[in-house]
Amino acid sequence: MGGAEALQHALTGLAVPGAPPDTTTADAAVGLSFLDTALRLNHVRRLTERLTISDHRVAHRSTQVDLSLRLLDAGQLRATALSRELRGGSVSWVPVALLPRTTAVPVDIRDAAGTRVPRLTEHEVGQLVAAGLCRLLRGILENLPGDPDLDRLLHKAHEAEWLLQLAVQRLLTERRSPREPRRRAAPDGVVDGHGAQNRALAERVLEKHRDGELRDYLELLETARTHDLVVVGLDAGTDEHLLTYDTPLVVAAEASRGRRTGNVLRSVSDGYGLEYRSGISPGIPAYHLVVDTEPGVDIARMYLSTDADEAVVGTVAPDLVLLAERVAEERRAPGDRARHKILELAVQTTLRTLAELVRRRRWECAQAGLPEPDGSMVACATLGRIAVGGEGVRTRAGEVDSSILLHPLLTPDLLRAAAAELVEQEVGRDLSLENDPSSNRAHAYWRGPGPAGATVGVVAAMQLRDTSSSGPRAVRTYALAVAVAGYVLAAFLADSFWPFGSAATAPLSRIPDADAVVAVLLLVPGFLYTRLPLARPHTVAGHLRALPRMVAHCCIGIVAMVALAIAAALPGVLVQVGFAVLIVVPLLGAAVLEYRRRELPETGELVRLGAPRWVHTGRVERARPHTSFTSSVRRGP
Amino acid sequence: MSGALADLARAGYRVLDEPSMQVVLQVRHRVDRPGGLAAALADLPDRTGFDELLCVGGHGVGVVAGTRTGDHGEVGPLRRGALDPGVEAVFHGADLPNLAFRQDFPDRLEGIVVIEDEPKKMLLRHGLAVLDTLTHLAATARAAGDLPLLSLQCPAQLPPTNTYRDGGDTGGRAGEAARSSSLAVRFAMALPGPGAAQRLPVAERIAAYCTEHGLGLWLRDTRPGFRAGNWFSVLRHNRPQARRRYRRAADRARSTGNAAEGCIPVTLVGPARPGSTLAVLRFLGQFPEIGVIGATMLPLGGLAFLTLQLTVIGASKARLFAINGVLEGGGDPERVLRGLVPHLLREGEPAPAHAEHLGSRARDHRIAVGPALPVLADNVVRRVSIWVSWRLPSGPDRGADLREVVLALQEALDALNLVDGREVPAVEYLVCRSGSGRVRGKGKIAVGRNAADRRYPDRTDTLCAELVEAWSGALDRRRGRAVKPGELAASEFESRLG
Repeated sequence: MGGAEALQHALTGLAVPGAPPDTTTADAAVGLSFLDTALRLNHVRRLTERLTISDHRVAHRSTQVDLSLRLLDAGQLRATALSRELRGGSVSWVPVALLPRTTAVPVDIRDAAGTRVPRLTEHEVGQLVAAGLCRLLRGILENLPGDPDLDRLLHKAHEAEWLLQLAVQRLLTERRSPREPRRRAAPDGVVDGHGAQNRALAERVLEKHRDGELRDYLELLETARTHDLVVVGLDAGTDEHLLTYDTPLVVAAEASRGRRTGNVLRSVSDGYGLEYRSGISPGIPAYHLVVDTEPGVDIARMYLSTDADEAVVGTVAPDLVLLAERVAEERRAPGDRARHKILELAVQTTLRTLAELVRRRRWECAQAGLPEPDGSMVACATLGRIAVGGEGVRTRAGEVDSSILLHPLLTPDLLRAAAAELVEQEVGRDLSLENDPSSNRAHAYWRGPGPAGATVGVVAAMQLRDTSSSGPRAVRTYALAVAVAGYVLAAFLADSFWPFGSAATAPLSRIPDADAVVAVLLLVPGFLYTRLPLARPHTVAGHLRALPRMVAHCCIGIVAMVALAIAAALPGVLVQVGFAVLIVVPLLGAAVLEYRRRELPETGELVRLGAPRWVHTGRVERARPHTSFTSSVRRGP
Repeated sequence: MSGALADLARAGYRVLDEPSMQVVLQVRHRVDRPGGLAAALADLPDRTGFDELLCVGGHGVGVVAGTRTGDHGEVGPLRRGALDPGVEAVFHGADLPNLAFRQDFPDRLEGIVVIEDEPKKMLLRHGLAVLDTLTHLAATARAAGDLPLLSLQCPAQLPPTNTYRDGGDTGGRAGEAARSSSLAVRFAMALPGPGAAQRLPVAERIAAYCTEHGLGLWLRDTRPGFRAGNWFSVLRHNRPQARRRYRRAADRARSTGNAAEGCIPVTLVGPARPGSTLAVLRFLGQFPEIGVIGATMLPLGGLAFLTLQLTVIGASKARLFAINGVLEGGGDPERVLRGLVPHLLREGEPAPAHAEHLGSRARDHRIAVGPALPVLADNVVRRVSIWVSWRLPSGPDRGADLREVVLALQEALDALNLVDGREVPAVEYLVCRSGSGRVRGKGKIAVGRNAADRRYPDRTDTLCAELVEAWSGALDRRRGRAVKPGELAASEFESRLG
């Protein structure tokens, strides 16, 4: 539901008021300034997110915001000064975040000393923003080209305008989303009265301008309605402030049983995949992600990628397709000079923009110590070279013509191939790698600025591994020990090196001291089992050691079954089968634990983890992460 | 998108933060005299200066328009102040700004259309060509998705001419600045998106018009690494074809000459909104004998200012004097424009029938008319341009900050003594804006080539450096605090401004 729909629904559910909402111009100015500051966050110098992975599907996030009040512009500072009147006192009220209203969890803001910072309540902020948006609506409507409905609403039917303002106020101060009201037919003899006429007038004006002059306003209303402005009281005498707050994370739904089983089987070779998605407000110049895991689990590799260049790709890719058609047409039937020159400018602009993209990706690879990504961006790299090479061709008169349209390598097919590459190879996503040695803490940085006016989407993914391989190795040894113990015991009982032949059936059906044998069977593997380093199942380490745990459980389970068979004096054939299983299954388990997937080159592993495809030449299937966290908090609409 | 939303919130905040939501405005039409802008600003007392300012000069006519947000004014027809009626007219008023209007559209098409490369004197056909071109540009913006025209300016400087001195070797390419002002229309219009699919049809529509009329066309160079003032040549001007195109229409009453000897400056002010400029131009276009030899359109403070210099055919001094005696201003713009038509035609010629009305998008605009002034040719003396720009932190009185910058610039120009006979440096174009705690502006000053060469032979860069130094010094003295490096800039080329 957008702002227009919410406002329409609210109009239907409210009685026509007899007076305008009680707001002051000062409140309105402060409210709009808060919105402006929260949308820009131009006073935020750096945003640090600290992610602590405590258990499987459980993480805690703490956000640190470095603020500099000096970065607020004069208008914002004036509004900050104006806001001191809100509660009296000397603190200045400054917006520090814009959080979507998806959670009821309270957000406490703390300063560098850990002291809780005062915060305006959501109701207080809602009142201010509502006052601002009511005045803004009036300001916009007053300047629309006149029409009878608008003139009536502004100058005669005041109740209709007050109803609009009341709807805006209710939407912003009450944290509820209106539902589409049920329309009912008017009973016989009932006609529209004064209130219904005013409501209809307000609805008509809204409907007429919702996709025109009011489009941005309604989007602003929707942003204000669906987000909470976190406005805190700060000492205006201090420039730098470090604020911290905790916000919950949204975890993706649990995978299907089949996928979970697959994850368990691959956990030793693939590790534990974890993905985190967030968003950065457009004005924030630097972003730092810190990830901590539980002891015993290392972050083997981690990347951070943003979609800061997706908007460029979103423009360049369709442009390349369009220009391919135009270039083909121009070569088939040359147009007039003007069309040729306009096409030349468009091609040069597009290809230089493309060259910039390719350059950025190459430099990111160099920074990360990865090989050049030319193999995955052949067409893009070729066009980039054409664009920046400054080459020309000789004309018949012997002069040099630098027109890019004359370049022999520039073909419509190449342009189309580059367009496809941009999308398929995800060239719009940048890359930043964690390059510290493996430990249970990893860092990744992104330095802006991002595209103007757009929230930057962030994806970070990491591969977690057991600190040491002792878990699987110990279980492998244990399984081998169980198999050997089973064989030795069976051989002793059968008095034969081959305890599975027909000759051994009789001794195994009449075991003289069955109690002692059962005790040996249970005690030795049981004692060894207790020494295995098996982590708790719901931890990340528990997931990484799920397969060894499964093998260990199988081993101990089979031992118990054989012991039961012996204790129950079952026929010798069944005991033989039991011993056979006791030997074969642990051996198979040990073999499974020994298995390792053939690793791809580092670039391939990164793409498998979810890094953009341009990093690696060749097709790689992406592994689904075990857990995916999404920021419930977007710092921008 | 949040950038646009934040801009909208800020626009609302800016007007709510002031005692009034109105924008007080002032428009001056005057004989274009060197130092006229400084003189107009010098008289303003504190707290009554302009937050935003536009100053243009061409064909001997100067226009200064300024706005100030937040003061109370009288919303209604513009009031004409008492000034010398044959030389200068000042109009005061107030209006409510369009808060939803975006001034800084990220996706835009900018260009320059050449009307006539070296006109000896202004003719009616030039006026017809300018009006046609302006109308076509406005119609193109409308057709591109009802997006606004962001600026129009005529006359304008043509792009530098690139020459190869040494057959294309490195360093052989040299740019030679064009004369400071030519009969050309510089435009900027919003585009619905950043891609070629949005840009190409609009550019080709304008190019097709220019091809048909023989007009030269440059488009803003959009390649990465290029900036405002870098232009990409699309069409060379075809002088014979351009002249042929309008000869018939302008020659209808040749017996009395078709020179545009006089003009009446007309400024329409109203809430900035798409389509308002087109409505005015279409209304004027229905009168085949009315030409426009100068035009400026720019939003200031959420209001769109459209200034047109309407040609007066057969404008003797006596006739201009007579016209000034009967000109009326204010009131309904359509009625005022209709009343103006007989004054623009040859004396005694009956006003043609007309059916078109001013569209609803411009009907609520305010209008300022006159005085009728003689047209002076800009090309008698060869002038070079000095582009200037500034970006300074502003104090509580933005109007005073802006005034000090302009007065300091005038002081610096005076100090450099670039006078050659009657040729004195003059501001041809200047726009100042304020916001986000800063005042910023950009302008073009015309300096006589002889005066420049006499003091700085072939060293325009030295002239620019000394101008910045003198300007900084004057501003330091006026404000009592030092100007930081980079806050002021001057260059012969627009693209090289800091």
